Amino acid sequence: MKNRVKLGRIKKDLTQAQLAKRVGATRQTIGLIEKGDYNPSLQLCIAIAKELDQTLDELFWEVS
Amino acid sequence: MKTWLSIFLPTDEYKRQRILVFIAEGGALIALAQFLSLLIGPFESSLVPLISIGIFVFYVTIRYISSGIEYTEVATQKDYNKERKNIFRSSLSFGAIFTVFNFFTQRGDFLIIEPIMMGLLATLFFFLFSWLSLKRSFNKNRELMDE
Repeated sequence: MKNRVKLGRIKKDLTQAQLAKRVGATRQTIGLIEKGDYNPSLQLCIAIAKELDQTLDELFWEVS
Repeated sequence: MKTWLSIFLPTDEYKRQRILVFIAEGGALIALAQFLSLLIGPFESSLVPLISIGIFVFYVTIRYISSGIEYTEVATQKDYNKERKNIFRSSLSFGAIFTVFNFFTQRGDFLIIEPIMMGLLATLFFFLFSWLSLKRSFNKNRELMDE
């Protein structure tokens, strides 16, 4: 799934490891999400969105 | 996902899902092995469950090692070298404990070299499996790292 997590994270000036720690995931999981290789659960999506101060739409809605 | 297996699973959801998949695949292999044993058998009754358990443990372990999900934070050469040293140390500790345990649980006459050789082999395999897992994790994490 394509997403804008990486952009949002960079905007907040966070590293993958920092974001991972804040949302209770591992750095590998954050890397996989950013690359689009893993579709996170809604719970994790919400946690990421809250940490990055963005909405789910802004991060995960795919605009064609 | 609520399951009694949760107590054995990691908190990270990706890792958790992967491990559950490996366990499920291992379970399917057990069912297949049992089914084949019915067709090919009859075997000695104690052999079938033993082989089934062996297949399950071997399959889940190999899938876990090759998936590169064990060392989720190792993404730089420095982290890798540090973790390799840790693995070396824990392999030696494991080998020592294994040898001592093996020495005291031997029954009847045995050569002193037997538990030592078993201990060396256990150390070697422990190190090999851990190192392979580290290598796979490192390669996977490097691809996912920030530029």
